[in-house]
Amino acid sequence: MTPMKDRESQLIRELETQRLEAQTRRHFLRTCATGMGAMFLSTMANRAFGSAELDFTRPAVSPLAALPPQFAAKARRVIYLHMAGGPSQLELFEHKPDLEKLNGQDCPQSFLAGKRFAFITGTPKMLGPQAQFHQAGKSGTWLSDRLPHLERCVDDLCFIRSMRTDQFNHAPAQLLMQTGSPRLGGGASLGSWVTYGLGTENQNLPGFIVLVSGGKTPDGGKSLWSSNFLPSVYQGVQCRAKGDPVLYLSNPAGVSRGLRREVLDAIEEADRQEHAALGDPETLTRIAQYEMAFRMQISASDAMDLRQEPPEMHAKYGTEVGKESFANNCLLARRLAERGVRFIQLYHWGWDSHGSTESEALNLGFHAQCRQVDQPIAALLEDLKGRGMLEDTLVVWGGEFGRTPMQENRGGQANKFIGRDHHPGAFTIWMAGGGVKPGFGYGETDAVGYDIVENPVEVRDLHATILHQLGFDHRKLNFRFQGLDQKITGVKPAKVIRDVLA
Amino acid sequence: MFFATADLELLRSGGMPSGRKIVSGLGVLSLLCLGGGCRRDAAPLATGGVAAPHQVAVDFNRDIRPLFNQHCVACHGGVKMSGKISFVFREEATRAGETGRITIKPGDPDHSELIARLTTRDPEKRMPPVDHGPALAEAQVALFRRWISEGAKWSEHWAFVGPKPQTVPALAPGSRAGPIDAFVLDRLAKERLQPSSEADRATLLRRLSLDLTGLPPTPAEMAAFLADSSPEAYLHQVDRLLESPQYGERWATLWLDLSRYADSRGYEKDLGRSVWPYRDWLIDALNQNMPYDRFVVEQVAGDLLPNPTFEQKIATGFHRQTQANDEGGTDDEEFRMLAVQDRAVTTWAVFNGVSFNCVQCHSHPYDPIRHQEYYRFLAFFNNTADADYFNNDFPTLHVPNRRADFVVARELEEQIRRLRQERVDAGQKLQGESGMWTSLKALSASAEPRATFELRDGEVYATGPAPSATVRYEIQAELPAGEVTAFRLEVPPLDPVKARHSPEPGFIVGEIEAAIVHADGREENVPWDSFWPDSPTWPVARQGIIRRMGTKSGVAPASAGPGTDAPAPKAPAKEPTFSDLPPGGFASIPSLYRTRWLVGVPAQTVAAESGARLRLRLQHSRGVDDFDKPTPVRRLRLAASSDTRWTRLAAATKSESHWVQMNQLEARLLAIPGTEVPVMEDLPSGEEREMRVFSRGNWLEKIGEPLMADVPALFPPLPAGAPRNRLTLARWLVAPGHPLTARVAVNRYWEQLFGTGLVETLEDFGSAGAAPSHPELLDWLALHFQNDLHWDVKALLRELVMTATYRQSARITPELLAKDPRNRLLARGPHNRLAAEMVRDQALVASGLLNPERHGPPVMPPQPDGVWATVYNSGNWIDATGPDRYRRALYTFWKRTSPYPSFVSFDTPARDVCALRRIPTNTPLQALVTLNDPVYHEAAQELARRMKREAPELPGQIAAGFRRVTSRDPRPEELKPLMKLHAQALERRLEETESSTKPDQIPPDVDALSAVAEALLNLDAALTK
Repeated sequence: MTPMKDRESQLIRELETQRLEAQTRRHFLRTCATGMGAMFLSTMANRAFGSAELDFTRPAVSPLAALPPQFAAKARRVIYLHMAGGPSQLELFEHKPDLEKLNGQDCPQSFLAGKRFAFITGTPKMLGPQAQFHQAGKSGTWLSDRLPHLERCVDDLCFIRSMRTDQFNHAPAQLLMQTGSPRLGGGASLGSWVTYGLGTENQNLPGFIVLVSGGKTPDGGKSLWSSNFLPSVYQGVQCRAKGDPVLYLSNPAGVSRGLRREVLDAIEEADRQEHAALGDPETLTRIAQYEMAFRMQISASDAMDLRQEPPEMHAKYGTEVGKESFANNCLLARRLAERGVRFIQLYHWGWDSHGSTESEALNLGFHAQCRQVDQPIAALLEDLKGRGMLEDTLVVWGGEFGRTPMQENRGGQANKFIGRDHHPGAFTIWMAGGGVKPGFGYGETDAVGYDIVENPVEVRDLHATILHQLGFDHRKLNFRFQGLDQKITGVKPAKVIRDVLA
Repeated sequence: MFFATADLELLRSGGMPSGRKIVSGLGVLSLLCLGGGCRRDAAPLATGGVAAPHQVAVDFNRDIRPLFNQHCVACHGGVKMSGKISFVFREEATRAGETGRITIKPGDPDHSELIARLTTRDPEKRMPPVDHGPALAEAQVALFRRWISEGAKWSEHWAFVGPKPQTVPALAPGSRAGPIDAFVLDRLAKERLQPSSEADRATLLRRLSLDLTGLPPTPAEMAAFLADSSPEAYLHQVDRLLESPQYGERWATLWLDLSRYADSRGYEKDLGRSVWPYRDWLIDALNQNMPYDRFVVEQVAGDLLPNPTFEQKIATGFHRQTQANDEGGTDDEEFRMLAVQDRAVTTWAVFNGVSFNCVQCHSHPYDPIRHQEYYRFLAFFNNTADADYFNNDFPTLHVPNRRADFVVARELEEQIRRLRQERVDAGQKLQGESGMWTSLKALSASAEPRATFELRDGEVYATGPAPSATVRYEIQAELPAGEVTAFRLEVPPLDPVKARHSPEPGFIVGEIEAAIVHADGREENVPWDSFWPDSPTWPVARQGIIRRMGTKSGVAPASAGPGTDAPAPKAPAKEPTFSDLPPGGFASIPSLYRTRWLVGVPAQTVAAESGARLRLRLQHSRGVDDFDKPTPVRRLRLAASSDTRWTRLAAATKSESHWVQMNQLEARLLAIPGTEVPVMEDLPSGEEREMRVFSRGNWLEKIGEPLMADVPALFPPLPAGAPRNRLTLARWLVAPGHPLTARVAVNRYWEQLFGTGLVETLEDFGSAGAAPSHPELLDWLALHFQNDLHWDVKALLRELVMTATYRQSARITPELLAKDPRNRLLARGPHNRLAAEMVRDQALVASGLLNPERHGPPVMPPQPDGVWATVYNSGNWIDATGPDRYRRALYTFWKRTSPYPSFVSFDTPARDVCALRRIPTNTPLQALVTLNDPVYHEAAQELARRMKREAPELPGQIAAGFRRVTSRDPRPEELKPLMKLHAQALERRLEETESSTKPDQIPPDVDALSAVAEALLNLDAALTK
């Protein structure tokens, strides 16, 4: 056993002894839902804090300790690829030949009555698909020619073409998609819920890691990975391409790892005196957290170091070491998944194809945008598959809403470039691996992709389905806050989409 | 096997369970006594404890309500009333449900459906249903039976009943403990626990200094205290710290969480917002020890106080911290309404500890607050003039940077307000006279670019899609033969009834031109003398809401007319000056919820012959939102008057001079260096919005009758006859007899000092929250705070920190850890981690870097590059290099979507919404901050230099540093590892120096001391108090 491991097990033993001493009324406390295991929190409220039913308590030294799922899980981890801005389903996955025929015609009034749009005013024109479609793979899935690499994986994908949301502005829609609430401060992030429920398999890395590309933080900001009312240990940790991969990870200039070890040893020895004097178990917990930080310095740097990947892997993903790109983030996602990180969230900004600028044009900037993600996503799926990891990794791809079959006419006049407005009423997402049906499509929209005609899927249904694959009944993964058992699926009824499960 | 008398009692009361099952039920029932929340002398029935429960009647709150809440109300409560049954209100529980059978028949358990359904063997009928949970234990059922037999007495949840006067427990003769200690000791005695002895003096002063000022004591302060042998030594420290100016900074931090203070607006763009004068107001109000009741009233309704001071208006910044959404394509009314809802919910949460959010969509799931009552309460907040304007916080107050300028600024504000009001009053009075107006029937309407119109009942309706944001309308209307002294334009909503609560899009008309088309076809322009608007809330041009204004307004010759011989006003360059139209034009922004009108008085009386027509051109200057979505006038009607008083009014008031004077005054006001600070301001009387219930919380669908503002019936009523406005509401919050305000306040101060509230759930005093650990003490404190201390916060804090309870040693014995791991019984002193702000401030104080400057705009201490990367926001974080680098934490720029990372690691909330409790965690990311954040590295190096200066020898140097971060001397066993560290670091450094060719900036011994300083800043003793 290494000295480090030794130190940790000693700490765990000490804490365990303390805990047992403290728990002469162990049964009483546990059933109170306080659970002594929640000891990493200085404050432990009883009914006010923690889940009403399931026990998410852990040893104090490792608040992210892995817990078994509630029932047998198909997926052990999630890689969520959020395309911020709302990618157009009509140029990617929704084959609508009738829309081509209607190109340039006035939008029927029935589409407009009672609807609210972000920018469309008056009567817009219908806009035909700005891409060619063909059938791909053994499944014969219709796919546009914008995603030639992804085409190789099409038989692994499970499409939901009937997603809908009730938010048509970016920040609220992204918040709804990632936290279950459209309001800043309304809900905890999906990744926070998952790490709260399952912990993580590698105690030397954060359990919920966020990777951002596209030059911008998504519209919802860092609130998208906030743990909100869940303890802050469950919030997403953003790893970055430039500077420290995790904020404050590296030692300050002039502090070597050897010196840091000596500093930590001195801290520990002094803290043990403090503990001897005061007897507060929090002190021992703190010693353990410092040890974990020391290990995280190595393990996080190691995980984020793309130089370790062979040239063929860089060629496959299209990565460049040191660059901030979606491709790099995809490769990092695989490295983090390998290391037992529970929830890996990617954001790629730049899908807001209004047509008001060239980069926002469906016939121009959209091409480049697709190229940025196409090869890396295919590489990620194939890489996971090749390592036997796709079966227990749930990959989710999608934006916060879709786009209208009408051309955007901001201010009553057609935009300078070709684009579509935000459309909350129908959009497409796909999932892969993690026990979903490969080569499958679910849900259907009308002939122009405007309304859902079959099997609508709410955002909360998607959340329920993701949690189900991880082994959770979404109704049971809850947390008592402000008098309510908070859940990511909220108070409206949510359902697991059983038809997409393998 | 024992049977307590209680169990026998239960058997007799009809349950007839077997003894074995009763015992199994006991374990479950012990759940009801949570977190030490139950009084020992009134333990819940059936716990089988030492109390003799057969002597005690069933208590609804203690014994029954928790059962309802735990097992029943999820389906039979305020949200779902499955089977038309609810256990939230007694009248609902005691009537027949859907089956027609009485749910609870008081006095008759055998005919109460509740009992039948709890005990039936039919799994289809049993409650709770099999898939929701196991059957209730027989002891629980027996409790229900007994309660119903005793009459099913209902009582309100403890927190909704006012605090009751308490008898202070008698103490042993000779005890010098005060009342607070008496309550604590009484409880400890019942638990057979001994209080701890007093902490050592160094620990005491550290605890006290950090608690009262957020800063550790300096070595000099510590030395003075240790040397003070007088009996009042501690008291003197308390008084010194309460009077220290840092006191206000420390306690403002709490209120910044509660008021959801941030320097940015939230959501996508998350643009900046200058609300920091509110933060400064907090610091000053707290330092001046403003009584809590006044503190509440000024924040909620300072603007409505008679002759409010500048400070009282700034105080209303409390409710202007709500988020705004500047994203393109948002519905401004939606986000205005969200802000209004946030204000209502925050008011309940902060001052009353009641979670009100859930009542938006349905009645409260647990507490007796009805759905409609949420909307009645919302009505208090629905009449402010603010809206979700793009990057604009109208209404704002121009707050001078120098306090000395407050008086003159206030005087100017008042003059402007008065002028505006005068102008409006004069026109409004005439406008409203009966018989004043003759309707002008519209004959034709056209637009450039083309638009579709309909003429109905003499009015113009723009029915087709809006062609452009800057569309120009041309209307022709009949003109009666005779003289016209004034024209009136009215813009009614398309649906005036609905618009009162669900407004339509507004409009901005920048130019209005009139002409007479004579019967012979000759056209004659009608120059305007003046316009008379319908509301003092408008014009709003100074606030910058209307931007990109149209060109010169109208063709009025009066633009350089009388009253303008005074020097030209120096209006802000961006705002064009109009002499004839009110600045900003004729506008309703962002929405239209009532008929708007504008009266135009021609420069000369118009004489029209029979057959002449009026031709009116309206030039829209832009759409109401920043993206210029076209929002032209949708409906318009015209009228004319022949009353000569209009002409006289125009002449007498030298009409346009109002605008000129206003411009001059505003220019003078804006010339005072200052900041535009968002404040609360109500719409003028007569312009109120209407409130109705939102169906299932959906703001787009309002139902039922108009609602008058009111408080829920559960609480004391508003004083009869008082106006239903925010001021009445604010005064109601702090009126004698309010059950919650004082309790919530004392509980919060208690939590800040002891780490856990007497009611642990600061955010929820309702029946789903935690029960108080010391209910009598809570009530005693609440009444004492209101009645004896007259809401004096410093006096309250003084009493709390003077208690022996607070001054106890925090040493935890294994016995105490076993018996009371969380210190709810208070047999030892508090020992808590420093708050995020204190972690930073302590490092700055210890190293001598702290810049103690108070007040002012937010600052940007170092933050890693690239943390800010907000879409559509060019704002940059620029690390401060001057003294602002070292300001106290509370001055750090607070961006909602990208909070200061090192604070987040130490559990600061995002402040998107009000944060009622920080839950401290202990994580590796915290260690990374205090070890590696350049802020702390810099502090460690400075501390090392200081250590070197403070003693000649190494042990003394380390001890000096140790004292600075932990406020005490190191124990020898603590000094040893630090000495060793120094030796190791020095050795490393010397090795490096030998192998390095670069000249060294930092001497090796200081470098080695830096390593020690780094360790010091990360000690458990440094991070706790």
